[in-house]
Amino acid sequence: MKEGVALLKAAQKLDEEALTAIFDQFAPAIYKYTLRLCHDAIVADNIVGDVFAQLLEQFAAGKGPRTNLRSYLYQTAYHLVVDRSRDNQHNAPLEVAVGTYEKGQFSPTQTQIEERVMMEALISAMNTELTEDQRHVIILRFLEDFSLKETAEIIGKEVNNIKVIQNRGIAKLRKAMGLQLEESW
Amino acid sequence: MGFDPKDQEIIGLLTKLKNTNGGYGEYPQDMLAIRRQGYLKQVAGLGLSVGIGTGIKNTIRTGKAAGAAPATSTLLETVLVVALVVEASTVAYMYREKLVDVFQTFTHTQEVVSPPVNPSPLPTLGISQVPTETQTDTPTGTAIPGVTNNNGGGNTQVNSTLVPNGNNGNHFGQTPKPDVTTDNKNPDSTNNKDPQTK
Repeated sequence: MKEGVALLKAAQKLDEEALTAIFDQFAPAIYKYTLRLCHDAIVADNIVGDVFAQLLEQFAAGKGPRTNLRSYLYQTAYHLVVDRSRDNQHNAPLEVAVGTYEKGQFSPTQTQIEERVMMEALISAMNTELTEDQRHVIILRFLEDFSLKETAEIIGKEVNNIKVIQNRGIAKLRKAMGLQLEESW
Repeated sequence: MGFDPKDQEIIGLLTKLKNTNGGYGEYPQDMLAIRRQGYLKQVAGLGLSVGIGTGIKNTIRTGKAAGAAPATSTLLETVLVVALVVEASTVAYMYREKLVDVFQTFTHTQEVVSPPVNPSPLPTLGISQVPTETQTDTPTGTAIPGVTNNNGGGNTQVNSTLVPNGNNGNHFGQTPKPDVTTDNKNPDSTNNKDPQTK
């Protein structure tokens, strides 16, 4: 199986094996990222389909990513999510996410219960307290492990701007988490 | 990049969230399988169309379908031939009249083409007869009175004015001049009147 640059080069030549490998490698991650942003499994699945359809169109036109395929796919997904959120302000109930998080936990210990409360508070704060940009930056930086530069490319802003957005987002989360934790305890 | 110590707690929580799938589940297998199947169909369709395009490019570049596989090459040739025939037939059918004109021009044959029939009734123009030219006799000359043409000698002789034979009448130029008479003895004669003397 081809890796990295070789995979991208083969995909640019519309190699079927490479294109399939790209889907298998990135589709689950793109789905998860999209689900974090839109909170809707069906919408996330549709966006995954759109992301890879656009990728094929770009490759067929002789365009598409030249270096960082992962950033390119996340960038496409980000734009699709933003477009959809402009058309339809939709927020799924938080229980959907939390319920999934709880899956597989049969007899949680005290630590696990505390951790779960913290996670619930964090997810809630991310969904309610952060702006769209702050949520995107926090997700890309800390949940998807993109660098500042990559995040800036995906969001379409300057690196310094991303730093500011990130710091403000963290500050908001810290403040919200402190308040929520005080309320929960 | 270093973070504020106050933020380290939040960073730690975010890291934990990442390790626990961020609170969200995996891509549902059935959903993923359907999506993957659709994607593979797109890839297959794209591969066919782009494969033909690539074959054409290689053919143009190298002059032969060297870059294509034998099966692709055969398919490409067939498709090209069919496309050319269809295209040529279509063009020939569309421009058949012009082609006929061109061929006739080459063969130098002129054909009288009837004018297009105008469906709208136009007023018919009557052709009036052109007056035919008639030849009329023109007098060639007039006879000069007093001149006797004796050249012909026949009946065309023009007679001059008859001699009055004592009846002068009003014949201009033929009145005999009166004789001038001078009477020296009679100064009162009409010919020698002098008004001053009166």
